[in-house]
Amino acid sequence: MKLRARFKQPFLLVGLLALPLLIGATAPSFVVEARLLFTTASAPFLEFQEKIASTVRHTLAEIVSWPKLKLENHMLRAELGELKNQLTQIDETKKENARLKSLLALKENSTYRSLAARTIAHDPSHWTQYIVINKGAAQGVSRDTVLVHSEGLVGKVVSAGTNSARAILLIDHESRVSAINEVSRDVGLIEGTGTPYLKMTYLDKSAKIQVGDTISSSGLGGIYPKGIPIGQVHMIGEDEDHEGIYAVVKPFVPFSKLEELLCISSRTDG
Amino acid sequence: MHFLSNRRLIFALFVLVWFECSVPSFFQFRTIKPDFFLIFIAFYAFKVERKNVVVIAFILGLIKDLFANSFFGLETISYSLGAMFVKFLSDRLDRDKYVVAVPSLFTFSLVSLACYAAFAFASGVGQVFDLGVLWRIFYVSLYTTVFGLAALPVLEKWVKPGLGSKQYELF
Repeated sequence: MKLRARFKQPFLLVGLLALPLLIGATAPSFVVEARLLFTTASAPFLEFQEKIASTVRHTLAEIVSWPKLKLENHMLRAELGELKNQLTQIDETKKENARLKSLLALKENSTYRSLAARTIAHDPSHWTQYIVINKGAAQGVSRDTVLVHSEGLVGKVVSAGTNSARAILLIDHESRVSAINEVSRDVGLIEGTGTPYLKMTYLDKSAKIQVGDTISSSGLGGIYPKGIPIGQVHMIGEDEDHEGIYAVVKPFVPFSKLEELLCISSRTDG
Repeated sequence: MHFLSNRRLIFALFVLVWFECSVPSFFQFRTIKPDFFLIFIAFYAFKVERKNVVVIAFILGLIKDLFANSFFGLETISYSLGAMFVKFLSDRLDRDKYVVAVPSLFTFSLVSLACYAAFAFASGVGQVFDLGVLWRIFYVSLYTTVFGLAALPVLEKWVKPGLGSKQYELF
């Protein structure tokens, strides 16, 4: 065809190949809108696929764990009797706790609202770490809505469509969270590295951080609520300029196996 | 571009995009995952129709750019340049032999990923072009090639007949 013949003209070919780059450089807002539109349009297909994948995954896991389950059943029955005794004790402690709470006039943390969501797609790129979730603006998810897993902090929403949203993961190299060491109370900044590990920077040289310490969000940035577990210190090193130290943090969350998530947003949002 | 009116090809691309958005994360190892788009492009160039491979790569790159969150256009240009390279290889090498197709897939993956990293570095939007990035390029290429070893025969048996590849007359 004539178009193929025209492809042989190098200038036209280079121009065509560079056109998306040009759009990306000159109209970033258009790209954001186009991506959101694409995600919104493909969300029902991705959700359907995720349901199939999830069923297959769970069935396989059940089959594999069958012999283990039998053994566990015996052990659990033995534990059950012991736990029943402990339950009575806990009930008493619970009642006492409620009484003490009312005495101290402590309020439950009601400044945040939460919503359950599912991961329906992972970023296909080898260079960025994003996910798509099945909740969007219609369900109250907006930009900067924080995503939490049962193990700890996952990331935050960067753009929300009607029934889906795109979220940046903590391990993406553009991700930043203000964090605190639960043991020594040293404050630093958790940065994604694009690898399975995180880096905690801006630590004082005098910081008493140790390998094995738990790191959680400090709440200082204003986006991430305070006290959400992030990871455990894996290694400590000195900055290149010898001004401070940094820590390599192993996240609690299995980022490649994200399924159910909790979206947390401030009640004042949207 | 009459080949794009091939409904089976459109369906194959649709399934491929669906596959790429969901399956690689199950095989992810320390943020390294196989790239099924690269496998498909190499398969198309070597086993189906090498003339249209750049257009296929351009479309797949554009789709990946829309799904991913990296700088828009980088995936498109790196896939397209990689496809030009794989077309160059398929024009000159014996396309029927797996001993040619598999190493070509590895080289093609290296070229595409290196193009991405180089463009990202040159435009100042990506990570620093350091040893970590080079290792990442190598590991992704290697992992993709390992998957390609299994995927190429499967694609040839089940997908190639549906795509209606050209039959060349020898005499």
